[in-house]
Amino acid sequence: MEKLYGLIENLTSYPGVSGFEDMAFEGLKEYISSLNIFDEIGTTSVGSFYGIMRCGKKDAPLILCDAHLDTVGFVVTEICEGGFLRVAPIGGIAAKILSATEVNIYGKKTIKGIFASKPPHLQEPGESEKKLTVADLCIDTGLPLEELKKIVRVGTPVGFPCKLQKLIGDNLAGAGFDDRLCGAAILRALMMLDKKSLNVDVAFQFSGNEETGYKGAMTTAYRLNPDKAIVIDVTHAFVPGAPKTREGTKAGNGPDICFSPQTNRAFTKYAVSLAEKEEIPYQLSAAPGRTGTNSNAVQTTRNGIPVLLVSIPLKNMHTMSEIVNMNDALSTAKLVSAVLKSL
Amino acid sequence: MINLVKKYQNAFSVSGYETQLAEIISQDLKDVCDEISIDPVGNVIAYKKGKDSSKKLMIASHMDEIGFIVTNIEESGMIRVAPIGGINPVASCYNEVRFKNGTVGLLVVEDGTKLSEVANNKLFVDIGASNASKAKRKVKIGDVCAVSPYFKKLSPKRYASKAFDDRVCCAISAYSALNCKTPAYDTYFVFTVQEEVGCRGAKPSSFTVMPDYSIALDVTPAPACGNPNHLTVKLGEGAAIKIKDSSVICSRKLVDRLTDLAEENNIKYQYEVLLAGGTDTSAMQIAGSGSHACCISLPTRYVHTPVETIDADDLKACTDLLIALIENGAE
Repeated sequence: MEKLYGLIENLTSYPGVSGFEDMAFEGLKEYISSLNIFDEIGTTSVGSFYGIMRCGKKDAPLILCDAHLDTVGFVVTEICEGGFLRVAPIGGIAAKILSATEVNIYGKKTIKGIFASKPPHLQEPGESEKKLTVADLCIDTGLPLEELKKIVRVGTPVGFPCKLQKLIGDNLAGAGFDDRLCGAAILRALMMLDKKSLNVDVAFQFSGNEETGYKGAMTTAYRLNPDKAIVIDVTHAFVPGAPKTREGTKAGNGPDICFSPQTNRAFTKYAVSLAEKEEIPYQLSAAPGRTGTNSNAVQTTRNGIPVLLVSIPLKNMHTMSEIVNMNDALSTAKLVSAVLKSL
Repeated sequence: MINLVKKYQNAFSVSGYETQLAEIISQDLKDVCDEISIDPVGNVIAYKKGKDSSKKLMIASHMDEIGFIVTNIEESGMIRVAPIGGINPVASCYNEVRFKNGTVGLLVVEDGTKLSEVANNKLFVDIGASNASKAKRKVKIGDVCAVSPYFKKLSPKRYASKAFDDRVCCAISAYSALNCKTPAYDTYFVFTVQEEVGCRGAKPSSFTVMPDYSIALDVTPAPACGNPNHLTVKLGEGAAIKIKDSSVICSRKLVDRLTDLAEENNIKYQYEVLLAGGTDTSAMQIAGSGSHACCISLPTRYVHTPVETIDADDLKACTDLLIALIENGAE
């Protein structure tokens, strides 16, 4: 658990708003190299980081483990009088969570900003009932316009900083768990393995541009050309008020294994039976249409790739304070490790 | 340059029916390119060898424009049409339209339609035929038409026309191919088909080229009166370097490179963050193992109307910036 926490702590420390993942590359390269897991690492033009771990056996099949590197965020659209910034969302963000929220602005240097908030005293009657959009909001930087213009341009990315908070019951809160958490779970899984005893080569892709169209996954999977793939992402853990249909997935009940047209049924059933055998807690879900993850992008790469989708239940997705039960993340690492060991 | 724009704008080139323009562009570029071909879906791929053949640059501008396809010819001789691409029905109606065979008609609206009810399914074309059999002599189900060519110089630097989207960028690309010095990399000037209906030409041609660097050339909406859509570009403020649109977030490496080239060469530029609308950029970004992709956008007022309006200085800035990138490379 400590090792996993260390991985999460490190991986959530890098900026990496969708489309701007290159900001994380330098730190990632240094940190992941220091783990001594991979025989080869690299980055791509579409924002993905990847590493390949070779078992040393001739013609070993390649198994891809995918998590996405990018996070939701914003991009500056206007620099206004008084040191305010207008922004557009990158990825799905509910405007109502933003009021008075802290952000990092990744300009020529990184500066802090806070989303401006209209106090209740100043609101018109009924105003709080109206649907808010990101375009209605602005970020307060506290800097004079001229100074701000030297740091920020139209197109500067803006993201949530991650401040990890340990909650009781092995729960952890922070930003960017979607999907850095899953990157950490994969790395933790690989650390459990003795690569020489494997029968497969393993590629890890920390793919870019997921939140904005799965592009890192499709292009990096094309490059790596795997025989099978395990996609790991977060899924919504049930909370009071969520739709009844989501009641099946709960935080603390283990990794969520997904049956879907966008995953491979045989590979999925195999993972379920392995979880039973190894006594790793798990839960099942079904996505009749899209999974909303990289699974489809990877599945339809080249001639088609059998995909297993494993998800870590997460609360408050796409906010400053996403919450995960660490036992779920650790069980996910164990499951991925078990699958790779058994192939 | 503007003559090239006019020539391309005069060609018939609705999405899926780009052969006439493909032929014209191929003729224009055949003497300056090392190889030129038209692929099975109709894209023109014009190749110029560069100084460094270890890298490939792809430049895409789309030949097609939005238009209409005939779905039914009524007893009265009136011709029902459906849109091809993102038609603005209010802007389209009561304009002259031209079919590929030269037949001219008027795009009109069903009688009794209130202004707020004008929609694509209320539109039909009147070619002056008094009954169905007369109409069928000129037009068949499946024929396509577009607003007739129109070109107006509003002021010394401002032009209005239909289909500046994206003929003006085809002209920028062709002009650059004709006038650039030896490219830094092997450079593929691709004139794509079917962008308006889902970038269907850019997808396969990107796989043919497999570029390392990609530049799309397209128009981007510029505000005229008010700015309710929070557009970041302005007409006359220079070439727009795309940061994002709804289909792509551009490569920071190329955004920064284009910025540096603009600064070094005194080319006026601005940044574009477009919240709705896509371009060929995305198709090039995701082909194969992916490429560094960006878009040089020409600010344009009234996009997808018969009076799209551009500024001559912006046109020159876009052209200069593209040529600077072709000649100096992306690194």
